[in-house]
Amino acid sequence: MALRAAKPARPESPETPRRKKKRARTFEVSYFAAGVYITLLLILVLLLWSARRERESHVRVPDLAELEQALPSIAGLTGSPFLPGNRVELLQNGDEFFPALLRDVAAARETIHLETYVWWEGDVCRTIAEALAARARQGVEVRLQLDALGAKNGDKKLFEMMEDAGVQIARYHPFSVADIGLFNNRTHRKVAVFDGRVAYVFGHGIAQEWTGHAQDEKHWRDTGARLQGPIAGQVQAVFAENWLETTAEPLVGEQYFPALGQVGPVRAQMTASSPQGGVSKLELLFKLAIATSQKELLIQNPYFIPDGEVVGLIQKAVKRGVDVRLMLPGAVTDSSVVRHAGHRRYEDLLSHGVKIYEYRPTLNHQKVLIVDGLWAHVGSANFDDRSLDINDEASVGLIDPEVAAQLRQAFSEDLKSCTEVTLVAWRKRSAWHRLVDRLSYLINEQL
Amino acid sequence: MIEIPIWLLVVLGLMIVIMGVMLWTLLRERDFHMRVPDLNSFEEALPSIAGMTRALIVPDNSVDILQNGDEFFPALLESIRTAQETIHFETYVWWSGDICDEVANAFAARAREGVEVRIMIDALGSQKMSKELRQLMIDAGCQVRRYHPIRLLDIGQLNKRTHRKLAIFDGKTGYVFGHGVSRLWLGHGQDKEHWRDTGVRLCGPIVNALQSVFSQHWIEETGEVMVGQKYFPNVEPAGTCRVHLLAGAPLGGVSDLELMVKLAIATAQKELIIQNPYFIADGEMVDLLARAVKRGVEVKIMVPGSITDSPIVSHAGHRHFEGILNCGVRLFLHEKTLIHQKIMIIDGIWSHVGSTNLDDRSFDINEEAGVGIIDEEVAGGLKEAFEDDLKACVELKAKEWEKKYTFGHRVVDLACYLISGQL
Repeated sequence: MALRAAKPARPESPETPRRKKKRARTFEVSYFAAGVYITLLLILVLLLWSARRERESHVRVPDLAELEQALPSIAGLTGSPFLPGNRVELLQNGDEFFPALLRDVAAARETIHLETYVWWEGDVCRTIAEALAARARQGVEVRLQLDALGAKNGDKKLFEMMEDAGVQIARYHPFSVADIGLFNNRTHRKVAVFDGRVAYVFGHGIAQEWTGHAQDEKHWRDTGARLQGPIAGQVQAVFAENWLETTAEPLVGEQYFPALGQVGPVRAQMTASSPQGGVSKLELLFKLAIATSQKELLIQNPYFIPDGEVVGLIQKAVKRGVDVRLMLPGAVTDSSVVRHAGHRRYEDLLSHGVKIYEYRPTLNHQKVLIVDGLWAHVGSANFDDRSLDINDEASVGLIDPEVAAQLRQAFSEDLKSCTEVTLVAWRKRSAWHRLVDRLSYLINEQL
Repeated sequence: MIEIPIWLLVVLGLMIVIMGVMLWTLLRERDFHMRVPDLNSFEEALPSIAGMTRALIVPDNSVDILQNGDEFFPALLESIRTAQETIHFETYVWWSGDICDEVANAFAARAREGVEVRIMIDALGSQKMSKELRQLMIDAGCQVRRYHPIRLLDIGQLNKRTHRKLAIFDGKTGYVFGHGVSRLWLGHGQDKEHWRDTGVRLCGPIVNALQSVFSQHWIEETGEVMVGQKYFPNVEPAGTCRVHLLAGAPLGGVSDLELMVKLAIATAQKELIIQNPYFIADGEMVDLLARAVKRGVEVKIMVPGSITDSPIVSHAGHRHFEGILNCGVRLFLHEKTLIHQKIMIIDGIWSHVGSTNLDDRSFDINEEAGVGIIDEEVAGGLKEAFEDDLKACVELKAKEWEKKYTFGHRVVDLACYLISGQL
């Protein structure tokens, strides 16, 4: 660029020393150079924007026929086939989840794989770290995939202790200048796989907040699933994908991918999404699930910011006669901006007959969706742009009346601690509340 | 002249640098040096291969091999004529020649009779497509879409093309192939103007997976979500072949297809055959081949000789000839026409047919599709064709190459290799 140090405009003219000093710190830039700079800047902005922008977020999902008829289409469109023959146990809150996880850590013979976003603080971190380390010392291959951002406040000593014991720890998208363009893409997946045979898909983080049984604001509500059967291979594949990306180690062998026979009655699908490759599979999955519901649609989600199309699909579902109930966080939330952004859609939903319940006791962090008391999804994906378009997520779909009934039962139980939001009350909310909702919605995409 | 303070100058400069770095980190290919282990048996490794490449192995399919244009185009045209409800077609190359008219007219005729016809062509690969032909199809009711149109808004996506070649009829019959729609793919590989290529026709449950791959780009470009039995039917068993469909996902993660190819080489126990028009091995590939030879695997690779449409790729490929030859791989140069087929055959059991070249563009940038077929008869049929192709080949021996491989040649090859990541 054509730059040159500015000479004092009139060197001969008398000026105060202070003025001179200021002059020496400026540059003169020609209009041409400024033009070149601005052009270059614009080109860069365009390149960056076009390389990252969501190419197509307006999918047109038609109303679907009866679920069984639509299943091959749903599987095909989301790239997640339904595998028969699985056994499923649901794990509610930390009280059921962590003991089960620790039992499987203790029982694993060859490989232990755990991927999570949150690894914060608390006794539970130490308990899990020690359990993993103990198994590694006994010769079990232990792989721990952490998100570099989600685990940045984890206790370094614990990580060191695990690594000394032989646990392999990989961090997803670490903070390096060479990867700055990927910084925004995190892995929000929460999965665990033992010997390639027992798998977990869950919403829990490894932190004190997820222990207990949702008894107060410091103990959150969450749901996970323990899976056996052919679906375990699909969960392993999701773990292996990020492991390969972070460590370049392909997991090949029967200790990772054994031949898996049928062990139970549940048909299961694993839907994992990542920001590469066009339309988000989970976004499409959620939309298809809404569109296929005929009787009842239950959604529990801590971060619910639906786009216009989701709202349209839900409205259509209500018109078809579907009983649509959403359970969202009340005053207890770790992200009030997200909560307020979600409020933007309350009116559109309420006025069309959707029932909205706000959960009072604590943060309801579980991501559960139940269609017609038959098809349920449990996993890590929030109902917002960050989960559906930016992060890596994982969710397991389960087709079984028994599993769906258990999740419905839990939903009914949670309902007792909810306040229903009514249209009349909603319309009376303050002007200040309305303004906060609007502003929150404007910035919601990146939250 | 505008006078600006130094701090502003620094800030403005930093802005450019940061954005440049961000762009580079987004668009650069990530270099992975995978540690692919040697595998003991193919059957044992299959669940791992399926898991690592996220491609379920689907049983009960029938597979017909279609060699060259002479077998491929008549079969394709017949399927177009007999499709009842939906015709889906995706390709990279759509150039010119009578075959283009014939295919376009066949699509148009079915569309006029009410069949849903969806055509996804790559915007770059189809630049030479005639506008009249495209209009003829659109007027008849075909939906013709171009993948990643070349326009300013999409400049950051310009490098990412669809190289997939797929056709699906009524969700029940599928084709995976290497052919482009151009007169160069007509005939039977008889001369330079008639290229050699291979495709397969598939019937059975695997066609659902093919439809799934087609739907990805269709949704991305149109937003139309195809739901229903006419797209994704409950497909009945149609044969005895196990098939898995591999579709490349570029940028970011590791390419499924690269992984597939490398894992397949690592599983070979007896014999490994590769035919590919664009073969640029990386260090790891050479290492895997060397280890295979050491295990006692007979490795035969066939690549184009002097007849190629991309001399730069050929030169880039030469870079590793020495290493490959020295480790005991047998290398054959085809001299009759361009061999455009992308074939792998392992131990007479597993074979691959598809669109994937063995170079970085196919592995890391483009959208590709190929099928792995587990069936001895199919592998046997492909091997027969390979042996037939051998008749038009010259075997390149290590000593001969040493003599040919002069300093000047090395410099050209290195230069080509350095830019080969994008070719």
